[in-house]
Amino acid sequence: MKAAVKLAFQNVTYYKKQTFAIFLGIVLSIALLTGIGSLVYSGERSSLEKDRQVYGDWHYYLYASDEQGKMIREYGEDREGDLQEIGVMEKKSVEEEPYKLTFLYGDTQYLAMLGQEIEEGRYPKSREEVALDTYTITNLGLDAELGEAVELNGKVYTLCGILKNQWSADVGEMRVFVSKNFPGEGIPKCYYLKFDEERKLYPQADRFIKELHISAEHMRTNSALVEYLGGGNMQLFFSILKTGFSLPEGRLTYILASMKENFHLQEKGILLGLGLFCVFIIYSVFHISVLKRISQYGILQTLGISQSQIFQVLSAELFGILILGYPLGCLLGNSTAKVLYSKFDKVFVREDTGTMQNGVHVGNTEAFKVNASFESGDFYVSRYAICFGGVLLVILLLAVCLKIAGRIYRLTVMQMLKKEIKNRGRSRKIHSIHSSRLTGVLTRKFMLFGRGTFISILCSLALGGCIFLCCSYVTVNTQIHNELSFKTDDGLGSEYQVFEESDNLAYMIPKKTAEEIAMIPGIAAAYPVSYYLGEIPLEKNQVLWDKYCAELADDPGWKPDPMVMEKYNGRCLRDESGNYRMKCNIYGYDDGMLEELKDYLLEGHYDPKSLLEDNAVILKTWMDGQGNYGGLDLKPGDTLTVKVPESPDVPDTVLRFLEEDSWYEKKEFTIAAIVSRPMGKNDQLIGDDGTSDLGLIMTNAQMEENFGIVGYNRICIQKEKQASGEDVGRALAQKIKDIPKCMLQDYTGAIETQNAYLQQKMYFFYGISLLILVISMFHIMNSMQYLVLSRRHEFGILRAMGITDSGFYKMMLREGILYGIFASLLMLAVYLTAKQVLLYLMVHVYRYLQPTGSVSPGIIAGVIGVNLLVSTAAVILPSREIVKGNIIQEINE
Amino acid sequence: MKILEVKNVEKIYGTGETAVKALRRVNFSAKQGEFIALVGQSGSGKSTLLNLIGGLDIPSKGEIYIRDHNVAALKKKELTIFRRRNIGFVFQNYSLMPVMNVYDNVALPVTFDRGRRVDHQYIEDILKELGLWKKRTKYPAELSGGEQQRVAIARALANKPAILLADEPTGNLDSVTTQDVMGLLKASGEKYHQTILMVTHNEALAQSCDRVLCMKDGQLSGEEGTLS
Repeated sequence: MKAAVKLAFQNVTYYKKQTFAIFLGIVLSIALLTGIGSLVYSGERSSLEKDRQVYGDWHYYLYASDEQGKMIREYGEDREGDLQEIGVMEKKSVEEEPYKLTFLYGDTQYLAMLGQEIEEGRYPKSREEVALDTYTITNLGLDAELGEAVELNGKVYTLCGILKNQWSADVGEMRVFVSKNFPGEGIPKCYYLKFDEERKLYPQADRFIKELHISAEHMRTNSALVEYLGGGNMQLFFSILKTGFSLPEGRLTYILASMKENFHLQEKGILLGLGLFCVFIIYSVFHISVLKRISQYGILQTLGISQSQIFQVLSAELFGILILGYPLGCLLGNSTAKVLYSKFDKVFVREDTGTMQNGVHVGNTEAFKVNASFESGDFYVSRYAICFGGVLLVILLLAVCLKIAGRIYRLTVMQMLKKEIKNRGRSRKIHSIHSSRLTGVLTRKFMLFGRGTFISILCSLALGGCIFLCCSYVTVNTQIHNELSFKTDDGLGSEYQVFEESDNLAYMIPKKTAEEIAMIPGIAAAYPVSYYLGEIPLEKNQVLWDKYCAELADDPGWKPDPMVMEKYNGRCLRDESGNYRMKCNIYGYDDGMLEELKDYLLEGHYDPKSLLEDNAVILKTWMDGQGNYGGLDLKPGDTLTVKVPESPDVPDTVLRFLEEDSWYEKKEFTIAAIVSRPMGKNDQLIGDDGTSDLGLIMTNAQMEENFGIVGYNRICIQKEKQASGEDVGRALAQKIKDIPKCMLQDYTGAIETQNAYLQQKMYFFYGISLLILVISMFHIMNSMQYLVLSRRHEFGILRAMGITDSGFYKMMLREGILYGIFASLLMLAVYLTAKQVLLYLMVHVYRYLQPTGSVSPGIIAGVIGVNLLVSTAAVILPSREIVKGNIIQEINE
Repeated sequence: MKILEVKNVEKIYGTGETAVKALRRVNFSAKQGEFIALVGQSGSGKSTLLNLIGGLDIPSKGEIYIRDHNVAALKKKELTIFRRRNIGFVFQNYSLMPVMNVYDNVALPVTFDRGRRVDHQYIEDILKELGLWKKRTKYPAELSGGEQQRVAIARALANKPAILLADEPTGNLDSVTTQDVMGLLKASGEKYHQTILMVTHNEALAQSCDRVLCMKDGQLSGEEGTLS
C-alpha cells in the first residue's frame, strides 16, 4: 500500500495538468452538492420558523381537567429534558351574537407560543378589561385606542391592551382576551406543549402519553412543525410501503407522497441526484486522465503489478485529490450559497403551510401573506449534505476505481503501450464508392469509435439543457397552478374579500351593498357570490369511491368532524339500501366569475346564457389525495336532484336535512360541465376545502329563480392598480359596517409578492441549471480535448495527405455540430420522458391544477442553440492546437 | 526532364545557443522517373530533407522546386493543395487511418479535392497490382506489416503524384516483404514515370536504386553511384 501511495503521489505531482483537472472537477462538483444541500436545509429551517409563526411554537395540545393539568405540570418539572414549555389557554365563553366572539384567557407562555405578544398596553388584570388583536379591532370597527370603551354582548369593557395579530389558521375567529378571574363556563383548559426540539419528538410524545395515561386521540398535533421535527422512523417507513403496496391503484403515488411528507424525499432526492452527477463528472475526468497515461500502466504491468495494486494506486490518487478538494468544494459551495441565500432567501421557503390536525387549512393567499411578512432565518450549513455527499462519493468513487482498475487489467500490455483501447466490430462497407466526401465518413467514424466517451459527452451536453427545460416546464406549470389556486382560494385572486362570517343562511350581503361596493373609487371589479346549502341523493352505483368521506370510511383513526355531524348530520350518508345523500355547497356566480371558472373545467362546456336558459349547473366533483377525479359516476348531460331548505330563514335543525319534507324543496338540474375547484368558497357551514366537498355552481340569477336567494354570501373585490390599498380597505369597512356578521379580509400585495417569489424562484433554478451546464461544460471540454488530441496521429496523416486547414476545421466543425444535434436529440428525448414523469408528479403527488403549460419553442430552440455552440466550441478549441502543431510530430505520435 | 531541384537548403531548429543546424546548404536535383536512395546515419538529416521536399516542413533558407514551383515560397493552403496533387508519401510506420478499410484509405487523398471524382478503376488497378484487391474491405489492424505498407504505397499512388517520398518504407518489414515492396515501388515508378526519393538505412536496397545520395551531418556528402 505504501508503494501504491508513493506511486500515486508521483503521478499526481508529475501530471500536474491532469491533477488540476480532476481537482477542479471535484471542487466544482462538491461545491454544487454541498451548496445546494445547505440552501435546501436553510430553506427548511426557514420554513419551520415560518410555520412556527403561522401555527404557533407548540407541538401538541390537549384539553385537560385541572387534575390532569397538574399532572402535566409535574411531568414538565420532572422531565425538564422532554417537556420544555407549557402554555395554558382557557376559553371563558363563546358568544354567537351579534358576532362570533371567543372570550379567552391565555397565560404568558400561551401568548408567546401563539405569537400574540402584547404590542401596546398590557394584558387584562380585572374582569372589566379586555385586550384585542388588530383583526378583531378592525372588524369591530374600533379606533384602537387604549382606554377605549368596548361594548361586547351588551357589556362595556375597557380596552387595556392590543395584541399582535395572530397568523392563525382559524383567522376568521374574533378573540377577546380577558383576565384570569373572568367568569367562565367551565370549559376544560387547553394545554399547549413544547418538547425538546434537539431530539426527535415522536419518542418524547410517546413517553408523555404513556406516563400520563392519556389517549393519543386527545392529543392534537401541530403537524407543520411535528412533520419536520418528529423524525420518521423505520416502523413508519415500512408502514408506508405496506400501505402503499396494498392499495389497488396509485401505489407509487401514495408511497412518494408519504415519503415526501415524512422523510423529506424531495430534499433527499435532490441531494442524491446531485451526488450522482458529481460522481459522473469526477469519474469522467479521472477516467480520461487515466486513459491519457494508460501506457504508464502498461509499463507497470510489464513490471508485474497486480490488479489490486492498480486499484490501490488509482484510489490513492483519486482520494488524495478528493481529500484536498472536498473541504475546498464545501467552502466554495457554502460561501456561494450563503451569498445566494441572502439574495434569494424566500425561494427555498415552502409556500404551502400544510393543514392543521384540527382540519382548518390556511389557503394559499394566507400562506403568501405570511411569506410576504416573514423574515427568513439565517443561513445554515447542512452537515447532512456534507456527510451524505462524502459517504456517497467515497462509496461510488471506490467503485469507480475498481471499475477502471478492472478495465486496465483486462487490456493487454501491448494494447496499453500502443494506447489501443478500443476493439469493436467493423462495417465492411466501402464508403468512397458512394460518397466523394470521406471526411464526413471519418467524422462519424471518429465519433463512434469510442462509444463510451461519445455517450458520456452526449449525456453531459444534454444534461444541462434537459435540467433547464425541466425547470422551465415545472416553473410554467407552477405559475399556472399558483394563479389558479389563488383564484379558487379567493375568487379571481382578489385583493379584498367581504364575507358573511356566519353559519346562518339568512345572513346575506344585500344586492344594493354589492352594487355600491362596485362603485367605490379605486375598485376595479367586484364579483358577488351567492350561497345555499343542499343535499344530493345519489344511487349506490354512482358513488365509485365508497370510502371517500370519513362518514363512509368506517376507520377508527379517521372520524367525521363532530361539529359537522352535529349541525349538518355529516357530509355523506349511506342509507340501508346502499344509496347516498351528499351535502353540497351551492354557489351562484356572475358572468365574470363563470368565465374564470373555465380554467378548472374537467368535462363538458357551458356559458352563462345556456346555464340560465337550460337551468343547468356545473358540478364541482371530488378529488382524491393523488389528483384523480373519478369518484362519482356523473357526467355532463346527467341529471341531479337537489334538496334544499324551503327558505334561508329556517331553524338550524333543518340544515341536518332530517326534518319533514315540508321544510324542503327539490329541484332537478342537468349537469352542463364538471370542474375541479370552486371559487369564492364558503367555510362557514359544512366547509369547503376546494377538493373533497361536492359543489353545484350556477348563475346568480338561477339562485334567485330556483331558491329565492337575492343577497350574497361573499364578494371578491379587485382594486385598481394605482388605488391606495389603505383607502379602499377603509371605504369597504365603512360600507359593510352595518351589515350583520359581515367581515373584511385584506390581501393587498399578496399576489404581487407571490409573482415576485415565483420569478425569483425561476431565476434561481435557471441559475442552478446554468451552473450544472458550466460544470458539464468543464467535463465536455476536458473530454473533447482528450478525444481530439488522442487522434493527433490520424489528423497528422490527414494533413500530410493534403487536407487543408480550412478543410480540417470544416471536418471538425461538422463533428461539433453533429455532437450538438445528437445531444439535442437526446436532450429532447430525455426531456419528453422527464416531462411525463414530472406531469405525473405534479398531478398526483403535488396535485397541481391544470398543468397544461409547456415550454415555449423559443426556449427549446435557444437551448438547442447553446448545445450546438458548446459542442462546436469544445471541438474547435483543441483543433486549433492540432493545426498549430507540426505534421511530422503528429504523425509520429 | 528535371522534376525536382533543391537549392542551398538549410534547416535550423531552435534559436540562439540551442539552435541545431539539421541541414546545411543542400543542393541536388532529380529527373522524372528517377529512383533515388537517400542514405546516411541516424540524425544525418535524411528525414528532415524528405519532409522539406514534401512540404511537411519549411526550410530556414534555400529553395525547393518541384515542377518549377518553389515549394518553400507557397502559402500554407497552396502548399497543402500542391502537396496532395504532386507528392505521395510512404512512411515507415505506414500511417494508415485505423478507422477506414483498405479501399477507403487509398481513396482518401483523392476525396480532399472538392469536385474531383474518385477514379475507381485506377484504384482497383493499383490494388490488384499490389495484391490487395481481395483485402480491400479489411482494416489496417487486420493486415500484416507488409500488407499495410503496400496499402500505404497504393494510397501514395492514388493521386498520381509526380514525386513519391518514402521514409524508410521497409524499416519495419522482413527481408522477403522488403524485396516485394521494393519491387512494387520500382514497378510503380516505371509505370507512372514517377520520381521516387527513398530514405533507407539498408545499403543493399540503396544500391538497387538509380542513384544514391549520401548524407552526413546535414550535408550531402556525395553520390555513391547509380545503376542505370
